[in-house]
Amino acid sequence: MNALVGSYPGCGVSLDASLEQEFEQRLADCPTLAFRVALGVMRNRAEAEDVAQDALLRAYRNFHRLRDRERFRAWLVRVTWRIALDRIRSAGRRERRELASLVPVPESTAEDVAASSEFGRYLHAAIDELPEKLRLVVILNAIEGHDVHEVARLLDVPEGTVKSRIYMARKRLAETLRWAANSIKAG
Amino acid sequence: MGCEQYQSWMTDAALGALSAEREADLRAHVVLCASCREELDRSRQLLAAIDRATAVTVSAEPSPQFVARVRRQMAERNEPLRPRLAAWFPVAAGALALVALLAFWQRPQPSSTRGPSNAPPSTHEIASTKSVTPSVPTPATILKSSVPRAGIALPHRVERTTPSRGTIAPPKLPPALEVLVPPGEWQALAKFAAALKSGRIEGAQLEKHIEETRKPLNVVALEVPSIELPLLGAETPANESDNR
Repeated sequence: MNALVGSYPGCGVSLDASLEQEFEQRLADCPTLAFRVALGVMRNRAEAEDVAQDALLRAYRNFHRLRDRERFRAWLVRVTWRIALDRIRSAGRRERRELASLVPVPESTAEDVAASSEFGRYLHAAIDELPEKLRLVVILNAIEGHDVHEVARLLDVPEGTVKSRIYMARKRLAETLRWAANSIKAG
Repeated sequence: MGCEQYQSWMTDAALGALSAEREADLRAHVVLCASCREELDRSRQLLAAIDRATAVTVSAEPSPQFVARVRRQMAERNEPLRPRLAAWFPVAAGALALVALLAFWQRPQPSSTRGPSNAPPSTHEIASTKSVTPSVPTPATILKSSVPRAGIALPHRVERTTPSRGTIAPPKLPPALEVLVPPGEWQALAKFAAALKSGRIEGAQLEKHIEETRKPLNVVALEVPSIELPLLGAETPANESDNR
């Protein structure tokens, strides 16, 4: 990346090397965040990496437009989220995702392993049915190390709003999946 | 209170969202009711399973080559971070191009009807205008043939010494000039042009009338003669004798 720092040929305008350096620092911890947000939507590693890569390239191209650099993580989350949703909405993508194998779930017991695949499918379907605001909160809150305070910071909303959305999302998921859990247990 | 009412609280109870009063009520009930106790346990397990499965979904790490691939993409696209000044270059270039285009569009064009010199119209041209039938022309005919190019020729003025005499429109009009006529006035304009061409309207009188309307008005002060009015209450001696 440092090789890119130079000057525009013929323009006589030197590049802002500090921008490159700053973006380099952001790049140290943000790819995982972008990948996980994308994975929460795509449920497929390869597609999630594609989405995260697009989001990071877009962030790189537009980094100079970002006024508040401290908001880079929140910005990246939004960009990744939008790209992932656009990909999902594109023709045929949803069907392919349903057919694709789910992310392997490391469970501790044989019973959980037997049930995880079916329950996971129901859960993902239920999450997809949530309104967009609730869905994003559920995914961000599920990412390791993201408590209510961090989610509120990423979404630029009050913590009370995040708590309320988490409550509504979990309640909807529980009510949707109650029958699924019973049927899996009975089967 | 029946078990159905308690079971409607189960999700909220598992979420820890029950009010203190209801929570105490439910806690006292599940001590006695095994069915509701199991339902509460199932609700808690379900929520835990949801949280765990959701967390597992987004717990994966990207592949080790992921960051390297992103960096390579950035380098291949050769798109270094642009400084703020450079962002204005395309805008400035576009504005300059627009100004140049406007200047080219607005440049003065030579008259194509009479050539480069502003010579008066020939008698042949005037005669040709005479032969036009007095039928009502279409608006397109007026705009493209009569008005914009050489003005409307007046048929009775055969002898012409100056370019300004005998024409209504100024001779320096650009050849591609178009006249905007308000809606509803096409018919009147067409009749006027046809009357000019057929000679029903005297060009000399019209020109004279136009010149007179351009003259400033002659303002003359009004002279009002003074009127003497008798004072009220002052009667003449002749009137007094009549009253008696």
